[in-house]
Amino acid sequence: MPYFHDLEEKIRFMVLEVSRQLEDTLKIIHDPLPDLVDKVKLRDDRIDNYKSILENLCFSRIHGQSNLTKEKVDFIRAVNIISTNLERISDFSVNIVAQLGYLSRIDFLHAYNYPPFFEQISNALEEVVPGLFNKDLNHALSICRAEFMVDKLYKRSFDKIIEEMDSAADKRDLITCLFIFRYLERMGDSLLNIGEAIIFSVFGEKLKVHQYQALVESLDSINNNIAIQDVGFESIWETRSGCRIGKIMDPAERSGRAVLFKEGKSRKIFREKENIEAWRKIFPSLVPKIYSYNQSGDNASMLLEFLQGCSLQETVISQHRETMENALFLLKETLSLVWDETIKNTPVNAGFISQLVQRIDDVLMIHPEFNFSEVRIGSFTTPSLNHVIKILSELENGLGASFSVFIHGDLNTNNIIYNQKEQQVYFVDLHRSCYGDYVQDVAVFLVSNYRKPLFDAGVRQAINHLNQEFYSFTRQFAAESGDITYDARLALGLIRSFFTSTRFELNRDFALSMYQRALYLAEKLISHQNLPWKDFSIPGDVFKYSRF
Amino acid sequence: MTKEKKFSMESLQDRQTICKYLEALKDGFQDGRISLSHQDETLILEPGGLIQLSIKARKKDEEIQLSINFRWTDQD
Repeated sequence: MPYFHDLEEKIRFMVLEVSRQLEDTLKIIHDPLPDLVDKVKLRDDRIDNYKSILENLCFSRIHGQSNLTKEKVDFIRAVNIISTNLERISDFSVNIVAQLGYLSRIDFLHAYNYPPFFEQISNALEEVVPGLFNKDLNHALSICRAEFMVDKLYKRSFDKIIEEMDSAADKRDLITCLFIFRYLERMGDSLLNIGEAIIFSVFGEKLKVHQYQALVESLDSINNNIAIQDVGFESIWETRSGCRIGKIMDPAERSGRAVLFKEGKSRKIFREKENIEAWRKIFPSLVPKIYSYNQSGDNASMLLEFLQGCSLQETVISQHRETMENALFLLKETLSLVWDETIKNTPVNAGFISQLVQRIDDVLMIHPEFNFSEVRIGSFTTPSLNHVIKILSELENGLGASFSVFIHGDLNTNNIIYNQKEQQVYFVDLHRSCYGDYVQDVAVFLVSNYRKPLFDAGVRQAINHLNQEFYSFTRQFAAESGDITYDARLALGLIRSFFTSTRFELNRDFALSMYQRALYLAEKLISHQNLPWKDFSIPGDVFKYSRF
Repeated sequence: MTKEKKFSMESLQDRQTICKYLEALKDGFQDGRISLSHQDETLILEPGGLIQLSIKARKKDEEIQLSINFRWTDQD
């Protein structure tokens, strides 16, 4: 790749310089010769310079050249990350040398096991160039593993120092040693960034090393013979839930057989696995198949069937009325079947207000003005937010559903996949499924449509129509099931979903429109609290967006 | 010069609840004293003498705006 010649050359030199920096730091620990100390400081200036040159080269390559392939851009980005982290390692070397000056005697440090740190870091640095230029993931993983080893070494040194702290004659020396080990530990962190940058340059996707390992294990567990380098990985970010989701394409199959890779906290992934299995007993075709499940420490991953189709939300945005109507029809049919099939005479209380309370700090962090106090206009009073929540919590205690059904748990319009050809809808993202109050799914669905920040009149009209139709359908189910508190519970569910959705919305007017709807419903419920709930009805306009 | 005092609120209501707010204001005008409180601050208004009233309405497609404005000066 002659195009990258200058980048290649500079990064090779930089790695060499940082390796020397590390060697000299070790020499200084043994014998702090002033000339060598000066050399380390001077070399750090040179390394800083390399970093600036590489940064300039990287940015000018990306911005100065048209038609750069993604692969080339990814390589340049990786080089930039690597040079930033190499420079940090050099800085930490200088910091260590400076700390040595605070020791009452240099051999104080010699009582501690520092050489293995240097060995691990030096070995890892040797793998940077072959890893980056040969796109070799084994080298990348080996660099990442060095961080793990350095962390383990640090833990041992840390524990030893803490143990000695009580009886030590000179605590200052001990603290200085701790600082030195801490710099070595931070060198390990920089190595991890370097290793992950190489993984990125190979994969074209930012994968943490544990995510990469989970991906390899998952593919291994389904006896996939594809070389990991050849797997196409297309990230589907799911920033809110903290899970990593990616679509994996098999390069051997042109038709694009794909599977979905999901990685995250094991508690959540395991719960989703269990829920998918529960759904498959009730409605096998409604949810994706699980191909594999792997757990490692606190994290877990799954390979799932990649369901063909588009989300229900996409059918709304496309404004193709017929498609949206068809998707809605299938959703209604599916929910009717699920609810009829799974209905149990077990009363349940969704606890919407306690769900709201759990998220209230997140809302007020984004919109502190939503924390309102009591307002009085003459003799007319409206309660403060705290008071509203208190009244609603009390009111909710007596407002459970008399029956339960198996619910999706997060029936966001994005979590419903519509397949026109198969005439079917699918449910995804099922970690919250359980036997519960179907009103929870209804409220989440309605608000997930409302909160889409799209203000085109046609789209808003489609959303209003969808919500109205869905509300009528669910209200009819409620009437047929003798569910007389449906509207009151839906009001609670809408309050919860409108209020908590504002934490994702920075458009003040739009957030305000959701917040005001939540409060309006709260005031309605509060003023109705001494009347029979069967007479409470949701004002039809409340989940329709209108621009004032 | 006295410090400027302000009161403002914004909310979503329906006809039924709008009437409650208007009733409260009507009572205030009748008594010659409108008390407005928010966040530990109370603003007492004592409408008296001549009060300028303006009512403005605007209708454009589906958007409708009706504003009622009262202005007066305090009686010494």
